Amino acid sequence: MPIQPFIYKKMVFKRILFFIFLSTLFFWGCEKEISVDLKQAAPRHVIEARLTSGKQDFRVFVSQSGPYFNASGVKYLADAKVILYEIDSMGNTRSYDFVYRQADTVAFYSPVNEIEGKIGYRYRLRVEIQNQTYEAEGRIRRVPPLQALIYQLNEETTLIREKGYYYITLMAQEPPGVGDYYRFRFYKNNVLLNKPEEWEIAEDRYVDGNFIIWSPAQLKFSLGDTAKVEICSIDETAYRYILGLRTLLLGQGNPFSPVPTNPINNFRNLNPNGVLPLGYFFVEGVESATVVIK
Amino acid sequence: MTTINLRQIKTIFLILFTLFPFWAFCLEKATENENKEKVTLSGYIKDKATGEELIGAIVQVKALKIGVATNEYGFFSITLPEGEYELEISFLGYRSLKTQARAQKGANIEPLVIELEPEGIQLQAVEVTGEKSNEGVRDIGMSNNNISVQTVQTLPALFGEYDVLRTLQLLPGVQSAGEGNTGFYVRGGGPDQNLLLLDEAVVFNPGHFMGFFSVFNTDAIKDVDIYKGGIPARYGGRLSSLINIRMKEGNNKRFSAKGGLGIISSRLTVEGPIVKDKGSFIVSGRRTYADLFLKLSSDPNVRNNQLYFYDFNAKANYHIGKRDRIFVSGYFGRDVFSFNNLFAFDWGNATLTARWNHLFSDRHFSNLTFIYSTFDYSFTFTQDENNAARLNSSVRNIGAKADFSFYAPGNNSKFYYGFNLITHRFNPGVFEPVGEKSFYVPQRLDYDYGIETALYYDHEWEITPKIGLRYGLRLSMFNATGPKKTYNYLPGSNLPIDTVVYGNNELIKSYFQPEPRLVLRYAINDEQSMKFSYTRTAQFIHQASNSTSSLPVDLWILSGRTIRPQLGDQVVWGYFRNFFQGKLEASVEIYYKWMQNQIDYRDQADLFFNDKLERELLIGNGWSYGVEWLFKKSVGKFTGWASYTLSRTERQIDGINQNQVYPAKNDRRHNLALVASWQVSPRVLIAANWVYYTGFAVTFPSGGYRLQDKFVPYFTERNGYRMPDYHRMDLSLTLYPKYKPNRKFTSNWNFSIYNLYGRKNAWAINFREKENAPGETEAVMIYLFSFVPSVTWNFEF
Repeated sequence: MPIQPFIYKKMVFKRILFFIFLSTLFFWGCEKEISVDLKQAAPRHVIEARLTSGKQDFRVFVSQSGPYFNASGVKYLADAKVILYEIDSMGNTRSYDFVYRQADTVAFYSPVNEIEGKIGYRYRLRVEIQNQTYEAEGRIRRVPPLQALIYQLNEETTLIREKGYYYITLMAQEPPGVGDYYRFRFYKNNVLLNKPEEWEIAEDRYVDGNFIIWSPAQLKFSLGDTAKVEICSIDETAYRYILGLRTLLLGQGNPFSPVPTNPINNFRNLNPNGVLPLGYFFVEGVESATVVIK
Repeated sequence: MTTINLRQIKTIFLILFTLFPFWAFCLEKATENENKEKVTLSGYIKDKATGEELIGAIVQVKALKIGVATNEYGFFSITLPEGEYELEISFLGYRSLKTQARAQKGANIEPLVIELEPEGIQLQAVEVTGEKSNEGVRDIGMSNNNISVQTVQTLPALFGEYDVLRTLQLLPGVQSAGEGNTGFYVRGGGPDQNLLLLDEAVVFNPGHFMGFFSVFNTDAIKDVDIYKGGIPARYGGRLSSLINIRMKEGNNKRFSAKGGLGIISSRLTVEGPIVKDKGSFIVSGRRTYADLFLKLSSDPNVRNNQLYFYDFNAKANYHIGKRDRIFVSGYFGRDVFSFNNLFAFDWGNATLTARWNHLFSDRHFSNLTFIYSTFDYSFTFTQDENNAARLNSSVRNIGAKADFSFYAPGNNSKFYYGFNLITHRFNPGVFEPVGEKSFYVPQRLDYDYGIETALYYDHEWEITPKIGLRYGLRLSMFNATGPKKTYNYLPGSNLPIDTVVYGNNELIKSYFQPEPRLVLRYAINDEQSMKFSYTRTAQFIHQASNSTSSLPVDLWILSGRTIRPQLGDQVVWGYFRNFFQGKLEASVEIYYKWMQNQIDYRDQADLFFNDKLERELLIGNGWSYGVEWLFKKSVGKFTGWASYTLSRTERQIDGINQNQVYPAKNDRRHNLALVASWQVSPRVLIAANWVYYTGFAVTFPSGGYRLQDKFVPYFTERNGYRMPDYHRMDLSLTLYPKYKPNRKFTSNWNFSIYNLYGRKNAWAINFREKENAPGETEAVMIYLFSFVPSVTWNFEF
């Protein structure tokens, strides 16, 4: 379960080191936009979906990669066949069919029948496109309920907190048994806080079975705001994927960052010689709590 | 790699070790019988002003055309027929001296002590005179350079901080790890493959402030040798290079002090005799003081921060009689970062060396050394009492060395032999909650233990005046020992299937590695020679780092069940030429180096606090080849050097870059350095350097894709791109006071400009979405130091 510092382990270390570098850069460093002549790799399929416990508006995004300097030219693929298999603990399987839908700027596949994710069930996503068949699977894992979500006015500005803002504290009982991984999603006034530096993930290696009291330092709220926290159970692959993606998005070129690589996902190609898609199929158990700051 | 039964290895070691003194004794007796009419003169060459021993001073008997050089303790031994001789002693930067010596059979000759007078009378005036030896051409050694501290202290310095390691980066075959960084690569090897010795003790992390400054305080250092190849058999344990840094012994003539005030730090050194001409001491300290200014702030968030580093060096030596001398030296340095009681991060090295020099005879020199060396870091997070925690990690070496050198009476043979022992104890991490309210569970990873032993001999032999040979063998053995818990994995997978627990001192894995070394010299004439060398090196410790620059938190790991020792094989051919009676030296060396069992990491490797680290590793091979040119002028008002390296460094590791060969991150085709120093007048010295190198290999995206509202870079090949080429010019001006014969206090001012023409060299290039225009991407270059002036005031009394 959470939290700082060592659940984020490398992340916190990187943060500290990064902080030291920032102080270096503050004294000495400058930024300048430059032009770089990049090679253009062959397009790769990109599949992204997130299935949670409970009823939901489940969407599967299927697109392909393009040139780096043409971010607005993402091509969504309409000719995929998408199927989701729901497998219970006895091995009984139910399948869901999907249809292609287009919204303003995005396009996705949504199930014909509404899906309700169930704890302990396995879900397998199959996407067939352009002679390739990709599959990814995950089980909705247990997730501890948030026992309290409180807030507090910060009265003194510190290095990490500002005076006059409210900071939330969440409390939860981490279930005994090492091997649990979590992702936290924070919402301010029902808007997901989705900058990479606001992504929080955790593992229970250092806090196993303990009662957790955690106040995320980077989330500040004002009077009248609604704060919502989702705690989502993920597996180790998802944990590493999010960590890898976050590292990439926060800056990949400095001498102190690892060599940038594509985050490893949970897809496989049924053709053993085929190329893997990019993206991820997240399967998460979710608990949430909301508080209005007044 | 040969793995043989431990008992067999122990037996071999025992026999060899037992035989070494016997063999030396036989040598001595045999040569005594052969040379009944000859007499050996031995002694020490010292600096007249300070009593410091001079390393590499030449002692010649011109009448017999015989010459020898002093060893690293200033000792020489020369065997002559009975008679009266004129010895001529010379050393660069010192007035040559001629002295009469009588070689008489039966006389109880004690070691001579000969003192040379330095040429430069004023503080740091560096016009170098004195007779230049033919060292580069004549030496039975290659791929090595010596850097004097005097040179380091006159070259331009970043923020006025003189830096030995930054100066080394101006030599051929040595590449900087990046802008302002003191880390370096030697002939394609990684920073962890450099054996950095400070008075024989390993320095694990040579960088302060994330590598922007080195841990070596130049005021405490006597000189620095670097070996890029042709490493003598008495050194081992690292693959790529040896950087041998010797601390000063301390002035044994009179008390003196020197120091400096710079914009980043201040230094103070005090030295003096313990008993005049018998023993001396030196203590030297350096500390940065940026944090002292922070305390002036009215804002407690600024005032309560700490950000500094310091070094402390100390050394003492004492002669016990004419044939024995003891030395004790140590280093302690620390970096401290602390932010308003929210978190603290500190790290540092500590070393301790105790040595005993003993002369068994005029031809048989010995040195026994005890070494302690450690590096540790600690990280404390106290932002919130509910999750306050501390992590610390350390590496520690305790070792001993017995080194002997024997000077054969014909003056054409030297034997070096000895024994090294290092015990390693690596603590990968202890994690503990701080305070009663912290919800963390204490964790501790098993320590790594290992014993590294080596027996070696080297024979340096002038077979004929033209042909010289140094051949040697180092027999290294490494035993990884318990207590430790290790894992067995399902073949072909990373799934642990069971554990194996080893008890105290129980052998986990043993590696035995013979390391042959060879240098051959053919002197075409007095001014030209050709040399060839072959060096095999083995390294039993590895640094787990997946970033370009090394960080204090990079983990050291020992070879063991799954991690085999790194092996290096290097061949070098070189041509050496002197011009103008040795005033201008030129050399070209061509090398090829092959490195086995090189470690890299799986994508998204989890290197932190991981007891199954071997799962994250990928093992493969690397190689590097290139040509290095060096032109050097060491004598006169105008000195300096030009170095150019053309090289290629590649890796092939299954699991990386679709198993294809890829350029190593330090693969840089061209490296050029021009270094010049001009003594304009006795009071003015100007120095400049210009460096140019190809940008290092880097991984850039070859595409991008969208995940919800994020645009993510997509990568296809490892190190498939290049950073922009790097170049920079630095300039310094040193002003000395007017010379007055009886002045005790002298001082000088050094003005430096780093990056004179303000070149914006890329330190990092990031690919990202524009903050104010999501959906649009950009490449942003970060550059660090463009035009950095600094001033330092140095004093001495």
